Amino acid sequence: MDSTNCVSNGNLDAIKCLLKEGKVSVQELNESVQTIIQCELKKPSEKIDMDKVYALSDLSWMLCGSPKFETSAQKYKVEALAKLKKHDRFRHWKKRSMAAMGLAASLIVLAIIGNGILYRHWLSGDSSEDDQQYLVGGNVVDPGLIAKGSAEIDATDRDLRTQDFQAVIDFLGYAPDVPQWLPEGWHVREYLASSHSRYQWIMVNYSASHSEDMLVYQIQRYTDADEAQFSFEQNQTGEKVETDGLSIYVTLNIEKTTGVWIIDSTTYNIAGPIDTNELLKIQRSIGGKNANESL
Amino acid sequence: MQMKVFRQVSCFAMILLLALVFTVHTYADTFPGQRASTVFNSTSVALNKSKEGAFGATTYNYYDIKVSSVTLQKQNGTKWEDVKSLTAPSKVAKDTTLYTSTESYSASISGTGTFRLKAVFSAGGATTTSYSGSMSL
Repeated sequence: MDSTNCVSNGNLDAIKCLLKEGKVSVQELNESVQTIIQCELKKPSEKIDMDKVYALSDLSWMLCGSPKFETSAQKYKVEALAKLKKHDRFRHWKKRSMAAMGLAASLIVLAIIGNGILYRHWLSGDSSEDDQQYLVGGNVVDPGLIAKGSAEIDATDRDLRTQDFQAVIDFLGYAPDVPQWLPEGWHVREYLASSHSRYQWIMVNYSASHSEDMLVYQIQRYTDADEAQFSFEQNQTGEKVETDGLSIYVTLNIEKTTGVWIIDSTTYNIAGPIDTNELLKIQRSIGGKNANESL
Repeated sequence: MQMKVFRQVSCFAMILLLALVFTVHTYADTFPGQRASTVFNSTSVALNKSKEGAFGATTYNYYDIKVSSVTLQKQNGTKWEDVKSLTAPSKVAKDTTLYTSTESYSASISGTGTFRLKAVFSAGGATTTSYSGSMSL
């Protein structure tokens, strides 16, 4: 039967077509639908396609009111199966909810056992409201269930001033990443470093015979980024330049070009009487992520 | 009906758990800024849970650098109010471009609330004001 095929295939457009063309009446169509429903209900319970029965019942209801059943047993069967299906859905939801709650419980256990895994901190920067400073501050995702550990860099407060890079390495215990390229005429004037249990500051001052102003490069890091707060002076909000996967904030302070970038909990800065292209070239010579790894 | 209630309770419990587990602190407080500086390149002020202040500053040229004043501020609604003046670090870094120091304020800061430090740095006749991130004590 054409109409039966249409319905069994779920082809509503074909049904509409048959109805429009007068090839089948609403009553004939309903009878076909009823036949399919009854055929389906005669199957063993576990083989009945209830979605199909529901869809056809709805269609039958739309065509001629409530669906007809040959016997009241069939009607009860549909109702019983509907309840079973509802119960199945409830069980499914219950299972999913239990899984979600289990996941939440796992997170709590992880938070307690692996504070180091979940405790993440990083820095981010933005201009102050009046644009006169570029502010870099700490952000923390903290499980908040246990006290933070104090992963200290150094237990003592020490300062260093030297022109010898090897002395810097000896002082810090590693070689900090420094620019490998400088604009012509610039050379290292002095290395300065300060190491404390809470922070490390490393600064390199460069001078050039053609400039009264220095070019400065600095690395700043707080052990706990939560407490880090840096302010970089600027004339107005600068721009962010993407280079090698890093976002470099470039601005001007009076006439000095300043570049600030952040890798995890470390802030890097270059400032001096150079142009943006030179600043970015210096930055690229530092090695980006490698600079952070050494800290 | 039973399923609906169970679903609602589950969703609520999930939201509550996630809110408890992950407390995201962001320090995006509003900072009164100052003018661009010919002397200072950057400054930093930090206050930790142990009530220890940390101060840092870098300059473009060689100066004597110090922290000339420290003020404790407490958050009242959206405003920051001065609570009291604190002892500034005694360290004066001579003829340098890098200044760092720490100062314990455990005896000076009492009570609970959200606090921050306001520090004024001095170098080469110029001053600049900087603020720590907020800290709940």
